[in-house]
Amino acid sequence: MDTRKICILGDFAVGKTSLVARFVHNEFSERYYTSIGVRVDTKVVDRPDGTPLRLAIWDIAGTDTPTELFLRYLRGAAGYLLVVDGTRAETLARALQLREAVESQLSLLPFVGLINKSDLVGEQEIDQDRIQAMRQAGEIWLQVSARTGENVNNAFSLLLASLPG
Amino acid sequence: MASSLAVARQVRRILLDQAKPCLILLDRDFRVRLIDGDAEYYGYGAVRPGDDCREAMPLLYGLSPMDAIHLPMVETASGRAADVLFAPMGDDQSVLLTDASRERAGRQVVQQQANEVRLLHKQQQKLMDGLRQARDENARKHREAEGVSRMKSGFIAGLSHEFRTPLTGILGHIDLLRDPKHDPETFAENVHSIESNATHLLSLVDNVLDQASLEVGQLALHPVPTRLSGFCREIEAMFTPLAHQRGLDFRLHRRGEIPEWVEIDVTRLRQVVINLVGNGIKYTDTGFVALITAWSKGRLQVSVSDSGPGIPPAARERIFLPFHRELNTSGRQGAGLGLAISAQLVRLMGGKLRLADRPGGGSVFGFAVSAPQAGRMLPASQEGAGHRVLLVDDSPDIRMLFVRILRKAGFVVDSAADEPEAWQRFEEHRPDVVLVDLYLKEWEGTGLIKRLRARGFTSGVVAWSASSLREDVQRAMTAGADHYLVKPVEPAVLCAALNEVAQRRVAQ
Repeated sequence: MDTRKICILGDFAVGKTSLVARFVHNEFSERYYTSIGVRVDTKVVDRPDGTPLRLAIWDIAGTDTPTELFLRYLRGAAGYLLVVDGTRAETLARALQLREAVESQLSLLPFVGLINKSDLVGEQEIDQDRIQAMRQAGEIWLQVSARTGENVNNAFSLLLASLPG
Repeated sequence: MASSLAVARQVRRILLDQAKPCLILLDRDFRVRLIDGDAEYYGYGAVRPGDDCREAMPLLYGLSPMDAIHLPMVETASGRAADVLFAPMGDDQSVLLTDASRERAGRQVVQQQANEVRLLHKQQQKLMDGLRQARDENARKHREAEGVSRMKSGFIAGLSHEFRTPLTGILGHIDLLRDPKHDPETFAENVHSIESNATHLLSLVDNVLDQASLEVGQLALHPVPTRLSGFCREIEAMFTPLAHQRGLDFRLHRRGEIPEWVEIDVTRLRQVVINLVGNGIKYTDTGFVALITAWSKGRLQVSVSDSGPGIPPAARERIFLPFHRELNTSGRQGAGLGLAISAQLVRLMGGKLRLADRPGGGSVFGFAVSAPQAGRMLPASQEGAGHRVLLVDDSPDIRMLFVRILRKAGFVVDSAADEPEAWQRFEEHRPDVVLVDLYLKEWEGTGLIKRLRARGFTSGVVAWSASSLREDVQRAMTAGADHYLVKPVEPAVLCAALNEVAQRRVAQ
C-alpha cells in the first residue's frame, strides 16, 4: 500500500498529540502530558479517487525553536499540519517561525494550519485579521477542536488532497 | 589478568543490560535479513527475517534505504523510547536501537514541569489582564454612577420646585374657596386651576414611579385590543386646543392601510405619544406639530415631527438619559424624565425610539412597536346596570368619593374599611363584583381575595392599587382577581372594568 509521512508541528501544549489521538483513535484526554521526542502512528485513509493510502503520522515534540534535530525528524515528510493554540496568541508566531525554518531549510512542503481549542469560546486570542490575510494568500487555516472533533478529519483530508500524487 | 577480564565482562554485561541494544539488518526493500538483541523489549519480538519491517516500525516510512540518520527518543511499539541509528552496511541498512526510556522519563518530568509553569504563567497573565479590565470597567461604571447620582441630585432639587409649584397653586385656590367672601362666579375657574395643577402633579409622580419601576425591570405591559382611530381622535382632542393656544397647527396623518383594532398596551402608547407631542408643542414657537401613524406586518409606526428649533447633535445621546434636563435650559417646565421613560417604554414594546432632523428644520421622533391586528372589542358599558359592588378600601376619602361616583353611574354600592367589615357586608349584600385595594393597612388585599375564592365566591374581583409593579399585578391575579387597575383610575375606566368583569362572570 502506498504510504506518506506527514508531521504534526507546533509549540508545546497546542494539542498536537490530542489531534492525532482524535484522528487515529477517536479519543480525547483532558490531561496534559508533554511529549518528548517523536511518536509515529499510522492510519489508512481513502484518497479522493477511492484508493487506500497509509499515513505515517509523526507527532513531534512541541518546540518554539526549529533545532537541527527538529528538522531531522521532518526528513522524508510529504506534508505537515501546523498547529496553533487558539487561546494563546504567541503560539501563532512560533508556528510561523517553524514553517519558515521548514521552507528555508527543507522544502516548500504542503501544509494545513490548524487553530486548535475552538471549543474554548470566549478565550480565543488569535488575530482573525491575520488568519484571514493568510487565507487570502491561498493558505488553508481551519478552526479545529481535538476535544469535540470539530474539523479534525477535515484537516487531514485537506492535507491529503494537497499532497503530491 | 583473569580478574581484569572478568571485570570487563561484567562491565559489558551491565552496559548491555542498560543499553538493551537491538540490531536489525534490512535489505533495500526494508525486508528483515537479521534481527538480534532485545527485540521483545521494544515490541518487535514477532518480527521475523523476511518481514517488511515498516509494518512493525512505521518510522521507516519516508526514509530511503541508504539513509544515515540518528533519531533520538523515538517511541517504539512497546511504548518504550529508543535512540535509533540508521547506517548503511554495504547493500544492507542497519538499524540499531538502544534504550532511551530512562532518559526520556527524566526529561519528560523536567519538561512537563517547565511547560506547566509556562502555562500557569500565561493563565496568571490572563487573570491579571482580566482583573485590570474589570477594574477599569468598575471605574468607568463608578464614574457613570456618579454622573447619574449627580443628575439625580439635580433632579431632586429641581423636583422639589416642580412639586411645590402646583401644590402652591392647589393650596392657594383652596384657600380662596374657603374664604367666606369668595366670589362664587370664580368657583369654576378655581376648580379648573386645582384640577390642572393636580393633573400636572400626578404626571410628575407617575413619571418618577415609572422610572423607578423601569430601573428595576418591574414595569409590565398589558396589551389590549385597541381602536387606533379612537386613540388618534383622543390625542387630537387633547392637544388641538393647546396647540392653537400657542398659535401652532397640530396635524394628524394616517399613512396607508391601518387595521381598526390592534393589540397593544394603549396606556403606555398614550404615555409615549403624549410625551412626544407635548414636547413638540412645548418647544415649538411657530409652525406645526404633526403626528403620523402607519402600520405594517404587525407593527405600528409612529412619528412626531415639529418645526421647532431642533436638537443639537451633541445633546442627542443625552436627552434619552433619565434625570437629564437639557431641554429645560430655556426655563420651560418639565421633570427631565419624559423622554427617558418614553425610550424605555418603546423598548419594552419591542421598538427603539429614534431622533432625526426634519428637513427644513425641527425634529422627528419616531418608533415602531409590536401591534398585531386584533379582533373587534365591544366597548364595556360605563353604566352600572344595577350591578352590586362591594368596595373595600382603607382610605375614607377614596371610599366616600368612589361610592358616590359608582352610585351615580348606576351601581348598587356598599363599602368596607377592613376585612371583618368586608365579610359582614359581603354576607349581607352578596355583591356581583368586589373592588379590593391591594395595600390595606393591617393586611393585604390579596389575602381577602384568596379567602373569597376559597369560600367559593365565583363572582368578579377587581384589584386596584397605586402600584404598577409587575409582581403586584401577578400576586393579585394569582390570588384570584379578574382585573387589575392602577390608581388613580378615571371613573369611566373603573366603571367599564367593573361592568366588563361582572358581565364576564355572568356569562361564565
